[in-house]
Amino acid sequence: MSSRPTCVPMLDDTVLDHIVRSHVGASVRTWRQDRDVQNPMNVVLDVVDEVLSHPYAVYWVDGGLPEMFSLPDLEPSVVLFNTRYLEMIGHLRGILTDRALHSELLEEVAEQASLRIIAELVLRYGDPGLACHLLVESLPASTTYFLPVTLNDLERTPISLRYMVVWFYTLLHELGHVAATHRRQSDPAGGEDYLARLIEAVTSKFFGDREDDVREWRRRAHRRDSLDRQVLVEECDADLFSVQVLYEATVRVLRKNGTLDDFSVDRLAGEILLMSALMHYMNSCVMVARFGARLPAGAADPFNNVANSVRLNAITEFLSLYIATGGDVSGYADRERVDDLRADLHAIHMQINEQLTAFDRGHARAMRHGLFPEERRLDVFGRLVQAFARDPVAFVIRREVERFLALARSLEVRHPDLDLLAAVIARPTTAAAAEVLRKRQRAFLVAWVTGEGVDQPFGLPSQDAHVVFVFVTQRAVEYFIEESRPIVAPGFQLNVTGILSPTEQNVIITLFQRLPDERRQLQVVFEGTDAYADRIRQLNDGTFWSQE
Amino acid sequence: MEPERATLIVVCAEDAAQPLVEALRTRGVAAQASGRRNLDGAAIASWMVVAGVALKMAPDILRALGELVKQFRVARVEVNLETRSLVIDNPRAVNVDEMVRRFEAAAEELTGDESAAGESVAGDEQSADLRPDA
Repeated sequence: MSSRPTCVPMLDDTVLDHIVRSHVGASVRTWRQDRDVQNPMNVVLDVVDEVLSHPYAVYWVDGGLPEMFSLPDLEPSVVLFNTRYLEMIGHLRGILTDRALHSELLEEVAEQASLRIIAELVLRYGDPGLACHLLVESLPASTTYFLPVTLNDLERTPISLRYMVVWFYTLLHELGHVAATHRRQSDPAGGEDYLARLIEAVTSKFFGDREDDVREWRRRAHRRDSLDRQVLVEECDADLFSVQVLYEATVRVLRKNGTLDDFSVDRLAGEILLMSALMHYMNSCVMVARFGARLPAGAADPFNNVANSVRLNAITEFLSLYIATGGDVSGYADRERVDDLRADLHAIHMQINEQLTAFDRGHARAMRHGLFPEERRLDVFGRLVQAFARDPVAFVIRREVERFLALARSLEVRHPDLDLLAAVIARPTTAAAAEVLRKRQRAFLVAWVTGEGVDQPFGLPSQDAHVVFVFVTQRAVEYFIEESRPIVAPGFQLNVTGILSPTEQNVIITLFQRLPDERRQLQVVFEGTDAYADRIRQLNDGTFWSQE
Repeated sequence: MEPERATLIVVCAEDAAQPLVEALRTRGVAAQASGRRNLDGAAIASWMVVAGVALKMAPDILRALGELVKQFRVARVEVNLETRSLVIDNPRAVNVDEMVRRFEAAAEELTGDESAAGESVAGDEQSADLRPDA
């Protein structure tokens, strides 16, 4: 969609500040990039200025949701550069490239790091109970601890190829969207046919004999997703813009730094491919967190990981062409040389393939914890308490929990599981922490249906979910049961069952485990929450029930 | 931007963005629209329409918006003053009317009309989320 009229006055600084605050929240510190100082970012932006005529404003976002994004149609376009995203990417890169980590250890560390990133995201997306669970799941097995990377760490990193890619690849990707929006036609590497073939090949590899089912599912969803051809063209466009500008900018920055001898076309390509993998893991964490936190339909894109693979292939193809033509991709390309370079790049990628494969395994385990409640463990707090007996692990637990609680405070998030976490780490011994856990057991009340071989939690089929109500007061559960009895078939009984647990999350896990047939649409609502109030209101006004 | 201006931000569906820009333009407001592109490569999920408006014009613009939210899918209306924001999520026309009243009170406070500063209008807590975030 082109929303730009022929003559639109530029948005002034106050309006731009309001736009940025509207997206990141008023409490997050933001500032516009000062173009008058000499630093690597401004050298990079100087190169951007040479190829992009549309005005743009880069805003730093210090903290908040770790998201980079752009509003390319505005005048000037707005690009948000998030420091927390940068820190997370730096952290993942440190883990993935640490040669001291053998495969099994890398797998373990990858799971823990992924869980902690997903936990932070879930906390920010508004599900503190799940966030606490995922954080605690990540802690007891921490035999190797990677200190989280801070912005200061990244600023102290010597200027190098790695520095340039970590700091600027994502920024340039967003500026690539601005560039693509303001030119007439996209030109994906290898052409439209190449991209179409690539999408087909990658989806076929991912989904195998279920490819047709997936295609049908996407068609019925009636909304665009990240595998949509046009979406992919736009993303590939932005990736390729980033690659092109980064090559030129890196040469200039290294030259200014007096380290131009360190420049290597191949190694920069390797760093870019590595960065693509890191972005893939971050995207994957975002996707899992959105699903896990049960954000509204449409907030999470299930095909994101597949689309990332298409983009990685497109970048590899483009890098081969770019290097073969000395940067003039529209000029003559010797196909043999391009093929050789593609093979070289695959070889570079394969050098870190062992680490990527190990990382994938740990990351996949973290994803399952986020996505499938029935696979989560019921005893994570118990395991946490036991882990206090091991000094190095106790150090990790305290450090990570304190960091997490500080984040929750900064977000003004309150939840009983956060209080429990704070109480547990405030006790210096395993015995004392176990006592805290024992005293914090709560009774959750659930309507339970039995009879004719059935013995399971009782839920109500709404228009969009199978809803199980969890009560904390006897009066409410009894009223619910009385109201529900008329719809229970003859031969079945409805009674109250109490679930004792220190956390709401354990109740959710239990209900998912006990209702295998309803898992795909199961929603658990706790008395006292907004979701509960919404469902009760729907029951009262009749909008709860499906139309059948 | 001069202090006697406010920023209007409307978060909406893609098909509502351009009609809203046009509707605002016919009322003399130079609005712009953009989709938000996230780094994760997902399809654009949200669009925004933005405009700087004179404080004196803002109530009329908001009233017009009250009509527009009946026609288009609007997820949020936000008016930002120097130090305050008024926000309605999933607005209905009645909520926008309430926002106009809140806005007028806030604007009078901003322009130093002490007699108006303490004037508050009871909000409909069930239907409007009007959050001053000063």
